[in-house]
Amino acid sequence: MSSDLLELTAAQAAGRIAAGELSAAALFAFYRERAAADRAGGEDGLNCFTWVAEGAAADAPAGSLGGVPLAVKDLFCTRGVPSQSGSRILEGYEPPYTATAVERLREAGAPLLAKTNQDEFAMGSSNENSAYGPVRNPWDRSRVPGGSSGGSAAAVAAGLAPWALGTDTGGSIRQPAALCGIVGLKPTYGSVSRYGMIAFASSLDQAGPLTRDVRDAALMLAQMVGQDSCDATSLQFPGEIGVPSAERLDGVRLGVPAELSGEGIEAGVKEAFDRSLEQAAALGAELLDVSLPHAPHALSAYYVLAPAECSSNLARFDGVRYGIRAEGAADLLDMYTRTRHDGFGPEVKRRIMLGTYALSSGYYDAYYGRAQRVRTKIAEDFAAAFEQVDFILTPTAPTVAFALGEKTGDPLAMYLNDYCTVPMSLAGIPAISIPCGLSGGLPVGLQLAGAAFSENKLLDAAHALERALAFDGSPAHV
Amino acid sequence: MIDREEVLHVARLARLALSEEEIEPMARELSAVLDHVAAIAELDLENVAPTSHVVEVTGRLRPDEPRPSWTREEILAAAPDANEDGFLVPSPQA
Amino acid sequence: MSEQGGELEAVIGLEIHIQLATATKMFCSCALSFGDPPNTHTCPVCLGLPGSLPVANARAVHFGLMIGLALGSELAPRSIFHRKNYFYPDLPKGYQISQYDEPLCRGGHLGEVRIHRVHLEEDAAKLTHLGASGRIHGSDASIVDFNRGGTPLAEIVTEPDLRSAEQAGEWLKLLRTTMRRLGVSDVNMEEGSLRCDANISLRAAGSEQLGVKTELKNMNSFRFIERGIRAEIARQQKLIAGGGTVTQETLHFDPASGAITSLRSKEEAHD
Ligand SMILES: [Zn+2]
Repeated sequence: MSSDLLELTAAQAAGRIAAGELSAAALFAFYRERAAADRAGGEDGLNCFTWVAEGAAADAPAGSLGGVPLAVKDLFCTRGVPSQSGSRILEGYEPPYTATAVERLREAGAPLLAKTNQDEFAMGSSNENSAYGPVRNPWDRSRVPGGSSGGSAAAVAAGLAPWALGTDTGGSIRQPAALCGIVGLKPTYGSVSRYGMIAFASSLDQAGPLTRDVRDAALMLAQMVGQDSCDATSLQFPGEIGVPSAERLDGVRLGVPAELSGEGIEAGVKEAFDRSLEQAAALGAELLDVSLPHAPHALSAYYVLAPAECSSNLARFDGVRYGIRAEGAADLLDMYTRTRHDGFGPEVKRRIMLGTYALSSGYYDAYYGRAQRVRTKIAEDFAAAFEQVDFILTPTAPTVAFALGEKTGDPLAMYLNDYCTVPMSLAGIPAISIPCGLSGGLPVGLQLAGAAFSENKLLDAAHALERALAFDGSPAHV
Repeated sequence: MIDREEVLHVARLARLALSEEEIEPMARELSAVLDHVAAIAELDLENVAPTSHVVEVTGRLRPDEPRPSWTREEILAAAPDANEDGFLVPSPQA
Repeated sequence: MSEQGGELEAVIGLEIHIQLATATKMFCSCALSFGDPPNTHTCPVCLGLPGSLPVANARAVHFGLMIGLALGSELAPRSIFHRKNYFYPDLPKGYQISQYDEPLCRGGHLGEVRIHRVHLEEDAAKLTHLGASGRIHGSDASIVDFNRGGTPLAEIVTEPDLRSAEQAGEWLKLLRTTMRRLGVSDVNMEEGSLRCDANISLRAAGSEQLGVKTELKNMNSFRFIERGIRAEIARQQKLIAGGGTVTQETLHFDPASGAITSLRSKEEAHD
């Protein structure tokens, strides 16, 4: 029975539960045990989780998600459950309230299974910036799972959770999904409430699903979207998220931007990407060259804007109301500076410094002001491209999963992981990563991006491609 | 590009203590990132409006209706230091 | 109308903070309160808990617009909130949500005094020094009460059109009456629902050029405002008469001693 349960996608499991062939309690217990074993495994595990439910599920009302348990990235506030955003400064912090996205999924029938490890405050592309230790890639334990939603991606890939909730600021859902061989969707900015998500860069952060297949992603997203009175930037999604069913791409115009699919892309990734394009053509899609002339500058703009927002968002961690406080402070200033010194890890400090510098008087226009203008140009590039094509296709990440420790000494090399995903984040448009093949035995991700609120069409196209690509690799560590 | 003094100045603005060993690598790493980012200085952005938010949010306001506040016990539960009335901090006047 | 004491005239502008008489706070649904036990009117939003987000109070915006209409201001077709960053225990998010380059109202006048702008922001929490009784690790402690934190404020900034302490006091009373009639605030200085800062400089009478100004902070009664402004004008006159120059700084008037002292201002990190 066990291996049988592991084979089920979330949608299939929900179907079995609805048909009375499987009990929600049994499914929860099955995954709870697997997750708890990983958590107890220490060095031998993947270190996917920062918290795992004890005992049976906290009651989830029967809903369309049918009792399929959910792993949730640590940065979502969950009432009475540690929510630390991968940071020492929030060690042991249990919020008094639950994030809207998590609450909606619970009400739809997805009980909280576990909280997943992540890069501290979602800053990172390898999950090595967690205060709670790195996560390992289930395809090769000596490699990173990507980040910042690395725990969520690795947990789904390794069958430790049927599906997981993550967040994406510059690629934090898509890139780990690619490196772990699963599906990850970043929805249109504003389509999912950010209330209760511990903020990194507010104008970019967006919650989304990490799942085994495209259908599961649609199923989860359908329950997440919608306006929330607690988030003034959340928008009413036009229509409902349906179940993707397309099998062909006839008449679909796919744009391939040279700027994001040539230089800097590793050979093995490029080969898998090119094979995907052939598959798309075979399904009837029309392939066109498009240009995103400002996309090569997206990373630069992002590494001004995101740190600037983070330096302001992280000002609240001052040791006054929650989290840790440095012992024995001489005075108030000493309490602030030492609490923040002790509580934040190296990458978070780097970004706070970078953001504070970019916002400081004298540099504001040169950095922050210009980066905001680059952002405008990038959004205009996409708008122009979507006049010609329905979707844009790129590799999700320039490389496959790299070795733990390989890039920790070089922040710039690490930042390049987000080269293909950041432009879509700056433009606020939806993008999905699906596994499209292997390179050297490691998964490669294919990214499809569409215009704002085109999620239904995007999921349909991804579904057709997913079927045709028939990715059937399975990680060593399951 | 960024020297020790500037690192210390920015750290002070950010209320971040840096140990002696953290200062030099921070200066080097910030300089490297800023050098990279400087490429956007070459773009012609003369008549381009800045984008701070991709979503135009128009007038999403909240009705002025009170809802119950949280109990003091709830909000003080996570405080690093508190008495029965509220959060304690080293006095700014000290 | 010029101050006595030679050819110098005083140039005074006021910055007035008015707590709006809404039922709830600026960005959350906590009820406003005065005199209630500390920390009994708070929630994740006004405590700045991780993950919480502000949603602006419709009535506060409405009151702000009413003030603008009453003062003959130009109402902004589009107005934006900004973050004013600084670290202080009375500011739970590490920034105050205020307005910067796109305020709710611009221009206008009340009587002969022109209005520069009117914008909305949130009030800070209250910090009370406990003295030796509340020592933490050998140093004195303060207690933070977030009841007041997040109360909606309208900040009204005048042009530097006032020329004497008496005129400033009179005009402020006119403003208070106007606000009271509008019903947008209790405008009670003793309870802190009307607070006033004054920007004060001297210049040669008849000159168009402005001198270096000082900012006199948070005077909490009409009597003290007039006395404070008078004392600061006298201080500047004496300074200039002695061949000195005025330096730009933030000052505090102590009504008990009549002394004016420089305030170590809250360091504003960056915007
Ligand atoms: Zn509140």
